[in-house]
Amino acid sequence: MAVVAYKCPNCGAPLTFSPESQKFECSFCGAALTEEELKNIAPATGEEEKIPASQGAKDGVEVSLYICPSCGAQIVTAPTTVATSCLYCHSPVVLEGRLRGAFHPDLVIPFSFDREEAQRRFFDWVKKKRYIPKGYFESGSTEHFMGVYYPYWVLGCNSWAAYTARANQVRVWRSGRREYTETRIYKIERDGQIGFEHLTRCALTGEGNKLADSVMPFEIRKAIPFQLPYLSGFRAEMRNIEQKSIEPVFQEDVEKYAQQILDDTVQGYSSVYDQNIGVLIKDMNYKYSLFPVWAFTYQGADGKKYYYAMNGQTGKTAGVLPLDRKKLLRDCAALGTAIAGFIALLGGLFV
Amino acid sequence: MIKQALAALAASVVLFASVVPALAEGEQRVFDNADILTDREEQLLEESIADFTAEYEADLVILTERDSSVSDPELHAQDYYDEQGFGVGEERSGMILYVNMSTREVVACASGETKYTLSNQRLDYVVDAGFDQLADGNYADSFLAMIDNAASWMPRGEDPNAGNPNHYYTPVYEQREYPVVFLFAGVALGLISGGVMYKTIAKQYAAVSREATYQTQENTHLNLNRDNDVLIDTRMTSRLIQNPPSSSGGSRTRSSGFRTSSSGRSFSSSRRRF
Repeated sequence: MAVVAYKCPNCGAPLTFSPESQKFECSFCGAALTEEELKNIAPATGEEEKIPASQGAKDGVEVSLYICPSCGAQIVTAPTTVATSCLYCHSPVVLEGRLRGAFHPDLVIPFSFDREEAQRRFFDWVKKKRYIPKGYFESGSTEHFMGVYYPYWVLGCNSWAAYTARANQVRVWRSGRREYTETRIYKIERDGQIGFEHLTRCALTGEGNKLADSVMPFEIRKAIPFQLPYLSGFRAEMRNIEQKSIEPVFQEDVEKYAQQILDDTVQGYSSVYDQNIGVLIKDMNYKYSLFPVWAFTYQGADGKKYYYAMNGQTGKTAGVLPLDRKKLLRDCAALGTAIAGFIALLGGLFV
Repeated sequence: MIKQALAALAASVVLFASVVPALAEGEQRVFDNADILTDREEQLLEESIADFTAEYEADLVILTERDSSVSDPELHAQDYYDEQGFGVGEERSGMILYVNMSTREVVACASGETKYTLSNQRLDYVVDAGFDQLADGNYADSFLAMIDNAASWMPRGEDPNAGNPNHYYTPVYEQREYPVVFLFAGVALGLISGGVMYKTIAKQYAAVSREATYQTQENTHLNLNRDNDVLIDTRMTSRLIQNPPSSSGGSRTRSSGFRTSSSGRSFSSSRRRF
């Protein structure tokens, strides 16, 4: 069972997951099934054929050849793809063979809203941006708008942190015509345990990695145990970064957040400096998860392409925005002039 | 009849003597100790003062000095007026114009009945009238302008606001040098603010993500074993607070009511720095 495709029990058309209804719907006859109901239906299956690297179509990369369970056509995918659609009959397929064993995800967060809603949210978001060139997002078009389940590592761990710093407390008072300044210097010491939950990093290298990280955080408390059917109708990718490779990145994250947390415990001082921290991580608990991202390209009327990603659960959008530099310069000049005028007024220029 | 004529003449002399200011003709009223006036100018001022006194029955004195030890020029002028016995009548009515070339201050004070006509507020106008010429070094013209202005108030009689500390005086004209440092500071701050705004917004638009990707408050818990803040050193410094500098270009010091000289007599006054 390398390839699976979910079929409507009424008419045999493909079933896809609907973010709107959170059910598995048939676009042909309108049937809607819950996860429980879907468990009673056996999916259509297809076989997998691996083509060695020496015979690989591109750059000597091994490719896998799958047979579409709907039309029998060959489906060629990249090594990390775990869900896609058949190029010929457009039936959604899930490459179950790639999600076995260590690659079986622990968690999934289903998409919360559909493609139309994602586009609406995107255009609402860019409308609020003052320095986007006027009409830029009305004259172009979104391309390759697709829902993709990206692989993420989610880490929970305990850590032991030791923190030292210096802090100053300054007091100023006057007596007669003399002003006194007293500076008290403190040595700050903190150590203890910090528990971390839901540290998350994208587990896929490549161009989309930065965008996939940027749409975080996901509400991981709402994640559910992974089930294959949720991928139906969407693209999905499997990880190509293993735990050992991602561990140094998580170590940096833990140290960074541990320092933030311990910095926050130092209160009541006019300045804090010379911070030092040592962190030991233990009890690491990794969960391999698939989280939803709407990924798309926007091509403006000027031909420039902008890449965006939207969190498929919360709607948070990430991506570089086009900038109307003239308008920004004009507003900056206005602010600068207003401040200069105010200071000059203080000097009695107009008195 | 001759006795009656002589009696009438004697009465006239007495009457005249009590009314006419106690001035012998040619009695000095201009004391240019700072030597800022020419002889001709002093004579011109003396004549002007004589006319003033004759018309308004009020004395008028001009005193110039170079004395940096005078810290209270109003009191100094009032004491000088008292000690020299200036003034007309029992109330010793009159005014004194005092210029100190070392401290660059001009003072006008009025005494006796004159202080009710030339109140603090009106004396401000008197000083204003001659201020420009004083600042330009035209001292004689300055004094003449002040005398003319004082003369313009005399026919109006008592100022209803005389001695009222709540009466607020609006300067006719106040010249200040503009502190150019504010202009430069304004331009510099404006450029910096505009630059910071541009860089911040441009950076936000060029960034892939603009918000935090991990919520530490929701996803972490802290259990401190050690939480020590140890005082290791205390340092103390002090500095003497300077008196605020006197601003140049004619700042005005305002007396809210009448001032009292060392002898206990009250004066209206006005003081200004030039």
